[in-house]
Amino acid sequence: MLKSVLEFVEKQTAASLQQKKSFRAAWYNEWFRLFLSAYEPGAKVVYTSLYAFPMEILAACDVIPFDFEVAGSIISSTDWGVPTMAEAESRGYSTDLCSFHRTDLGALCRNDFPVPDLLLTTSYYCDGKAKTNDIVAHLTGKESLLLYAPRETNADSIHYVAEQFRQIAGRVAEVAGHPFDEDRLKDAVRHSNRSRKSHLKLLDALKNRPSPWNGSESHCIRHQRKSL
Amino acid sequence: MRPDQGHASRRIGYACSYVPVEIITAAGMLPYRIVPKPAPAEADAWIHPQTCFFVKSLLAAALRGEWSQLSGLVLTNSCDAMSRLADLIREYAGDLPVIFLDVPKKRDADSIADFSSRLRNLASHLHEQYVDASGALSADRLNEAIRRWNHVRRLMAEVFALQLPGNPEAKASDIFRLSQEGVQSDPLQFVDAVKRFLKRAGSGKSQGHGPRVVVTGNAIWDVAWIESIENAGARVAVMHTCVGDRNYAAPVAEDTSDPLGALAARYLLKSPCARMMGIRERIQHLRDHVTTYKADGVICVAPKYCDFQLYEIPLLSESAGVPFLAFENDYRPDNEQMNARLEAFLEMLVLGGDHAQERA
Repeated sequence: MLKSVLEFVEKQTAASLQQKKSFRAAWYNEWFRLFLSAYEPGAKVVYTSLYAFPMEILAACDVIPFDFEVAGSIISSTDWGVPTMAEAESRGYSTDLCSFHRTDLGALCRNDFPVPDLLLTTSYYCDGKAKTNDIVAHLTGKESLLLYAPRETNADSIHYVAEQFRQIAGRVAEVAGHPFDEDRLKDAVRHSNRSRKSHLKLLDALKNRPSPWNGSESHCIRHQRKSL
Repeated sequence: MRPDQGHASRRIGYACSYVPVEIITAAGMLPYRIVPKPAPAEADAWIHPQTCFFVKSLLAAALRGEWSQLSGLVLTNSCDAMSRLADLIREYAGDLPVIFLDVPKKRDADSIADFSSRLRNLASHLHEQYVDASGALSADRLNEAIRRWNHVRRLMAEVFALQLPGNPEAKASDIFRLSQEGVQSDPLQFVDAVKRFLKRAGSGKSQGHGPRVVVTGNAIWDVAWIESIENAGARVAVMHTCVGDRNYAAPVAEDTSDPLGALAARYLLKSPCARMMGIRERIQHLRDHVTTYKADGVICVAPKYCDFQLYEIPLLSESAGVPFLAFENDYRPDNEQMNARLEAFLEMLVLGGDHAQERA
C-alpha cells in the first residue's frame, strides 16, 4: 500500500514540476523517489532517523536511508492510517503508545515497508523510536545500532560519540559492501555544510516583508536539506 | 563512614536501580530509595496526565515536601519521563538538591568507559559535599563500600535461591518486603536482617502446590501485588523487577585499582531492564527465569503509561513460552478488577497444565 502511494505521488509531482517550479512538488518528488528506491531489488536499506541522525555517514556509503516514522506519517495521511494502527493494536501494542510507532509496527506487520539491512537511530530523539527500532530489528532479524548521545558535552562525551560514529560507519560500509571511504565522508560533510549555509540565508530572507518564501516552502526546503 | 541511619539528613534519595549505591555509601551517606505512593493525580497540574504513574507519584511526593529532609536526590535518565522529573523537581520542589546521572542505554566497552567518567563526576560531587571539599573519593573508600554491598548481594542470592524448586520455601511476599528494606537501609544493618531471614527460612509452612509464576516488570512497590497473587492460590517463583533479583544480582569486581570502572561495568552489564537496548537479551532473560524457576506462567506488572514496558509486552508475551498476563496499574493494586483477571489467569494455568503433578 505504501509503495502505491509513493508511486502515485512521485508521478503526480513529476508531472507538476514539468509545468511549473514548486518547492513543495520538488520536495515530495525527491523524497518519494528516495523511498521508492528502497524497494528496488538489491537495494541496501538502512532504517534511520532522517532528521536526527547525521546523514553524512550514510551519504558516504551506497545505501538507501529509510525513515519509518516519515513513512508512517505518509500512511497516516491516507485512509490506511487507522487500519494500520489497528493491525499493531491487534498484536498487543497498546493504544497508549505513540501513534507514529503503532503505525510503523502495523505497516511492518502488513509487509508495507521495504526490508531493512540495518537499523540506526539516536538516543536524544525519544525513548519510543529507539525501542521501536529494537523491536523492528528483532522482527526482521536484523541488527539495530543506537547512537547514544550523552547529555553533557565534554571531552569524554565527544570521544564516546566519535567512537560510536566509527563503529556505525564501519557497519554501514559493511552493509554497502565496500570499505568506508573517509574522502566520501568529507565530501558529504562539505555538501552538507554548503546546504546549511544556504538554509541560513533562506531563513534570513524570511525576515523581509514581503518575504520571497512562504512558510510551507521554507519548511519543504529545510526538510529536503536534512533528508537528501 | 557508617551513616547515621536514624537521621534523615544523612540520606541521599535515588529512584532507579542504575544508581550505584556504593558511591553514596562511600561518601558516608545512606542511599535511600524513594518509592511511589498511590496519589499520582496530584501531579497532573505540573505534568501531562498521561505520564507514567511512577513519575507522577514521585513528583506528587516531592511537591508535598515529603523529601525535604533528604540531603540530595540522584535522578537518572531512566526514561524520558524520569529526565523531566528531574527538571520539574528542580523547578517546583523547593531547595532539594537534584544530581542528574546520565546512564547510557548500551552495554559495550565504550559505554562502560563513558559511564565510568559520569560516575567519577558523581563521586567527586558527593565527596566535595559530604566528605571533604578538596580531593576525591579514594579507591579505598569505594572498595570498602563495594565489599559491603557485595556482601548484601551474596546473601540476597541465598534468599532468592529459596524460590528455586526443591529448596526450603519462603513466602514471596516476605522476600519482597526484605528486598524493599534493602534499598532503604545501611548495608551493614541490612546484612543482619538478611541473616535473620535466612535463619528462619524453611521453617515456615509449605506454600502449597498452586501454579508457579514469574513476576516481571519494573517499579512494583506495594507488597499487596504479591499478596494478591499468593491469595489467589499461586506461588511467586521469582520477582524479576527493579527491586527484585535484578537489583541484587551480579556482584561488583572487588579491590580493583579502578573501582568506578568496576561499578560502571556491573551496573551496565547487570540483567537489563526495559530502558536498555536489546529486546533479544530481555526475552532470553525471561525465558531463562521461566526455565530455572520452573514457572507455569508470567505476570508482567508495570505502571500505567510506562512506554518502555508497553513496547515490550507483545514480544515478551509471545516469546515467554508459557501463558503471560500483563497488568498496568496506578499503584492501587488491591481492586476487584485486578483480582478477577488474576483468578481467571491462574484458573487457565491450572486447567492448561499439569504443574500440580510435576511439583508434587
